[in-house]
Amino acid sequence: MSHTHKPGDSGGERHAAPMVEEVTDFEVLEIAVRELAIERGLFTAEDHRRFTEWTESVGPAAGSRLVAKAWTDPAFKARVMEDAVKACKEIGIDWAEPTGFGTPSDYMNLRVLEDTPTLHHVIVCTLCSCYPRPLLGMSPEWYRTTNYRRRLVRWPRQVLAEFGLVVPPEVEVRVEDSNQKCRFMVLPVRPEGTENWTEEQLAEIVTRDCMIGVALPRPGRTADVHPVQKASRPVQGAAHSGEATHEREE
Amino acid sequence: MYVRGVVGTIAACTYQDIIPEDEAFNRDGRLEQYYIVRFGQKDLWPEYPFENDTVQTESPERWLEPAD
Repeated sequence: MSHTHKPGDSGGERHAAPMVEEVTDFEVLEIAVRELAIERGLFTAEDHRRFTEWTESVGPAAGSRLVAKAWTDPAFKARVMEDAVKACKEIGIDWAEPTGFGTPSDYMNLRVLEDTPTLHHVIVCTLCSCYPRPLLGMSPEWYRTTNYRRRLVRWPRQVLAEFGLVVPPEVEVRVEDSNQKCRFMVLPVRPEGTENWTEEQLAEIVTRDCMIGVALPRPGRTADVHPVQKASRPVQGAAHSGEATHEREE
Repeated sequence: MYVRGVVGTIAACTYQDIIPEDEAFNRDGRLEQYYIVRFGQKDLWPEYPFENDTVQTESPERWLEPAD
């Protein structure tokens, strides 16, 4: 009685047309697991909503504060390098209780990678997209793409150049692949021109991309912007679009 | 993975934890030391053009052998 349906195959069974855009298998799986967990009392729908809203609202501010404090307080920096998870409590982040809902982070091993003038770190998770969420919030979309994850280990300088970061050849580029339970964050070199700045001023220029390692902090740079460089003479300009499509249809 | 068979140096001892093979199958498992291991990019990729670049990955002890 069972048979596979191919597109266009009407077979013997009726297909209801979906009312929404295509849903992926993983979305279906998530819904099924979540509904089952709620039915079995593992958590409530309200718990889930609050947790989801928390994950969506957390950003990299705690990481920025950690870097700014490490730059201004050498004793704090030493504590960060000695035991980063413990030092995080000083800036208000508890890896054992990151959400406030009593769900600990599975991964309690944070390592901060200190850049020097001759060593630049950049972080990737080639296996999936592991990220120090209690400190940096949700990872950016590009960090999770196979494009980034496959290419950064093999072609780090090319990938960094695509972000606008060109590292001089004498500086060591060290890729950190977080493929077990350690989570990593970059402590960049404090840039020139920030002497006598307050921690707040310093935190403003430590953006998420700086703590992943695809950007360098500098005065005036307070946001991660990835500009699209439009071609000056694109293949399909507005004046030629009719001809272009006609050719493709042939 | 991409560092199989390559000689590296131990950069750090991280923690002791259950080995991945046991954790994946939800067995009560053996604890092992985990290490961060550093490799020269020139040792991994043919004609990698920069002398000093490195990559670090983390590994349980069972995936490592002493280099001689």
